[in-house]
Amino acid sequence: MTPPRPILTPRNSRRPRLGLTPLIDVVFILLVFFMLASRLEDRRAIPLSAEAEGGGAPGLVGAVLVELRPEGLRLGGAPVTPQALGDRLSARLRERPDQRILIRPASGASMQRLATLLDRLDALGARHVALLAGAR
Amino acid sequence: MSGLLPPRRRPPADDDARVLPLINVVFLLLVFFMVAGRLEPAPPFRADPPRAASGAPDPAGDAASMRVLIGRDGALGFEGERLDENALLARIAVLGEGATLSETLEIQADAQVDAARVAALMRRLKTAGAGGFRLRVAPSAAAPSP
Repeated sequence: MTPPRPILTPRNSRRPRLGLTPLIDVVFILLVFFMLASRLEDRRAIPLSAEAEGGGAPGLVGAVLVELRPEGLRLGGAPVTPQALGDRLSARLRERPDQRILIRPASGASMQRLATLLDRLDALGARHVALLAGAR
Repeated sequence: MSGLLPPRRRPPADDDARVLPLINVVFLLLVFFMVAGRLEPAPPFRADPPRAASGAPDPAGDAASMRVLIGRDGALGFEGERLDENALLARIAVLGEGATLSETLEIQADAQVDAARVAALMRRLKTAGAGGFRLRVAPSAAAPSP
């Protein structure tokens, strides 16, 4: 008859051994949480201001008006191709680098077209761009 | 055959020591995702921003600006929750406390949304007390690296 094995050996009773398995479990769960919850795509934005038409807002005086219509662009009321718009605005910006540019989107033009236009203006070096909402 | 393979090392006496490389890798991955990722509320509806080559990261940091969402179906959201326009304008007015809001508002509008509607909303937000705006864009594949 062998003597019963002691449940707590002297070594175990003094300093209970903590296994690594619970640690791994917790770290795995944290890893899965951060992988699922965090977003990695870079977050970019274009600075823009808003102006209201009418009422004689001071920001409108001396600004160039670009209209964004479903059928195309207009500069100062006349239809213009993107190429011609770039040429004329870059000539204007060379004279006055702080030239304000107003964009008035017409109903039917998508945000993607507005973003493309903002891209083009940014490439020309325009720094003061505002969005103009039609009076309704 | 035994001459082709290096002699198998004897496993360490301690079983825990064998999983230490695994823990190292998992820890590194955890730190990477904690540092590189951003925790932000998921939009309550679809609002895929338009693609653009220009645009800059938020200078004030990731979590600083408040975000107005305009979904493909025309729904409005603010800070991850869905609400109607009057409620949104009221929230902006309350946050500005009667004066102009010091932070810029980030507008995240779906690429398909009518730009005239966004312009009209931005004008009303400005009347309600919003200061500056930033239009959220997604980096396009053809974007030149800055």
